[in-house]
Amino acid sequence: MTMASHGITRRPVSAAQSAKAREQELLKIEQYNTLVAEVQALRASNTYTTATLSTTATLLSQNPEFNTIWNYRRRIVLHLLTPMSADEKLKLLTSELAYLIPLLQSYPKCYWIWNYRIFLLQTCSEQLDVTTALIVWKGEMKLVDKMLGRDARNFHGWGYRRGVVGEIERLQGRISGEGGKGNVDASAGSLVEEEFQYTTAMYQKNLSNFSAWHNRSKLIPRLLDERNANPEERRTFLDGELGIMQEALFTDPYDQSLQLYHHWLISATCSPASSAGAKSGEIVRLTQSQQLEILSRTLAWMRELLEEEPECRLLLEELIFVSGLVRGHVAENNDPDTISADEVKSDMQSWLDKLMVVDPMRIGRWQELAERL
Amino acid sequence: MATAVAFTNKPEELFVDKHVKYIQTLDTRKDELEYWLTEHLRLSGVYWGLTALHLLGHPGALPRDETIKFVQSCQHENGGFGAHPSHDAHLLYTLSAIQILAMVDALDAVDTEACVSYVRGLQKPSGVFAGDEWGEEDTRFVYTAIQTLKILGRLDAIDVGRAVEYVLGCQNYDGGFGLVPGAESHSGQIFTCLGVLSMTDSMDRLTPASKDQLAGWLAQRQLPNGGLNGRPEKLEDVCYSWWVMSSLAMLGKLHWIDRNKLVGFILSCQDEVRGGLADRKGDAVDVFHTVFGIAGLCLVGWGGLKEVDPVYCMPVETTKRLFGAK
Repeated sequence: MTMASHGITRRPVSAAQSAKAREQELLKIEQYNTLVAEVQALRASNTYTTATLSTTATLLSQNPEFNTIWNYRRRIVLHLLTPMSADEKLKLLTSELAYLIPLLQSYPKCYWIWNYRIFLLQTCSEQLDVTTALIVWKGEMKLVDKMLGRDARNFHGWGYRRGVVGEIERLQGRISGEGGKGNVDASAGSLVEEEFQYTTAMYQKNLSNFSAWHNRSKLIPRLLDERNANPEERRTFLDGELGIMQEALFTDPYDQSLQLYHHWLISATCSPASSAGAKSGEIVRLTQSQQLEILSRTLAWMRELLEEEPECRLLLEELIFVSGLVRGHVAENNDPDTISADEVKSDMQSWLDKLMVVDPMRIGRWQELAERL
Repeated sequence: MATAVAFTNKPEELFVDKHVKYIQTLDTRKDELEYWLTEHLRLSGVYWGLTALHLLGHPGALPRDETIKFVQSCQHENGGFGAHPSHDAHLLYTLSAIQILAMVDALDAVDTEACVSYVRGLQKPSGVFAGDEWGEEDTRFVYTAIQTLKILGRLDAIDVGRAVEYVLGCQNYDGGFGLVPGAESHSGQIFTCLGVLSMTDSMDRLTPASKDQLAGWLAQRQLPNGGLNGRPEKLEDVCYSWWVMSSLAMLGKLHWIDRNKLVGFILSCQDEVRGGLADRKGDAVDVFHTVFGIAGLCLVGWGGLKEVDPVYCMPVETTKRLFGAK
């Protein structure tokens, strides 16, 4: 490849192409360029017919990255839809959606195919009645499940899932809004419970799925709001998540996904006011003593784990992070009864010293944090 | 930025002449089907190749007049640029066009006012930009729009404040940024979002704590073999030598990873015979990985290369000429 490729094995230097292979390559080029010229001529003459759907399909199956031709195809579809009855529209749009499936299976990371698919679905929302559009959008969930079943970290797959869920929720909300009289419940049509359960199912298959943990973190604030959870229910929920993390990290303390999610739970709920960083969705508002209770409990099991895994850099990093929060609370609190700031600092120093040894690649970071202590 | 570093990994050689030759011959490969299949990237390909040549110290290795003519031929009536004369306009190629002209100091060769109006027309009420008339929105397009206008000195043409708010809304709890609000952090998007904040003098909108956390997350991208990945638990890839390292540079934390190990990894991805760099050792090379591997080496101060601007991915010589000394 000459432009941008990933994971294609390099051709050996000695592998000179035979005359026959060169001839075949030139023939392929000629055939491809003839097809491109044909499609470009149709495009230039604004030809929008059913026949051009199949001509562009032939070209796009050979080169799905040719975004200009996807754009041409959008114009063809919009043109064909204009005079159609509702049934005919549904038929054309669903046949377009079906046409993309094998392409997406062969090129799951091609932005342009996904973009074209979203265009088709948005056209459904715009041109079909809401109940029909909803059925089409719901059908997408099967595709997304299949894509993420094949590659649980597929970036496009997760982004697409969030987009599809958002539109299904919007359409369901519209339908329930039309049925009732005013006072539409903001959570009418919400899929937040189902989506939350989906992240549970995904992490139960494989704990090391950062995409699933990420999505879970985005769903939780909404989930609790829609459950109308009171402060106690929220605390119970937090304890549940922290419990899952404690167990999971004892299973694999080297897992970055788990470390990041645990880090979020703690920082979103136990940060002292002075160091509350980027705004994050609210799980629960805790008093300072409740926060300190969680932080000490966390430090206790992490120390226990450290005895089993004394060289685990992720664990050492988290110990330093949690201790830093404790230190922040102590600094804010005028009457620090049991916690000694000096002891916390000396623990942090010893973990940083350890990190400089077990994680020399990032020694610059550990030295800088040590200087700032 | 360029500081002397003692490199200890092998192979210690950067095959400059071979890479120059590789880039020069990219446009002569018309007997390969791949050349024709990648027409939709052509203008960006010219930008990648030209940037690599500038950084390698061979800015004149591509014919200047032909380059300018090709860029001119890609501009549409609406002011935007396509990847090739017969391709639709898109923000991605519009930025490539303007970057190429900036590097060869020929911005007056195209209709820049039409270009400004094309970019302005793609901003949405939320502050985000669509990539083209079809309306796909994400943070990559905020970056391309803002850099295009910054080079043209016309940031006044758009609502910068809203663009910045949109980008800030894409920050996640790990400190990183995603394609759209709610999307998972990814090193490529972190580069584009930090780039937007840098170009608009808004880096101070990030709290010190979230900057630290982001730099820590970026440093975690380095794997034991020295290469960098784009997200947790993914494979290393030479192009992240740019996305991750430029982001660390914007945060002032280049020293948070192991430079020697990264250099060793990048150099191991060279095709020592035919020139060019690949995503990983032993894979086929391409001009995309070639420029981002070389630009990564520039950021860690590899000797003999030109300084690269981590915000714009162009030689500092160019950005100094455009914006004055920083």
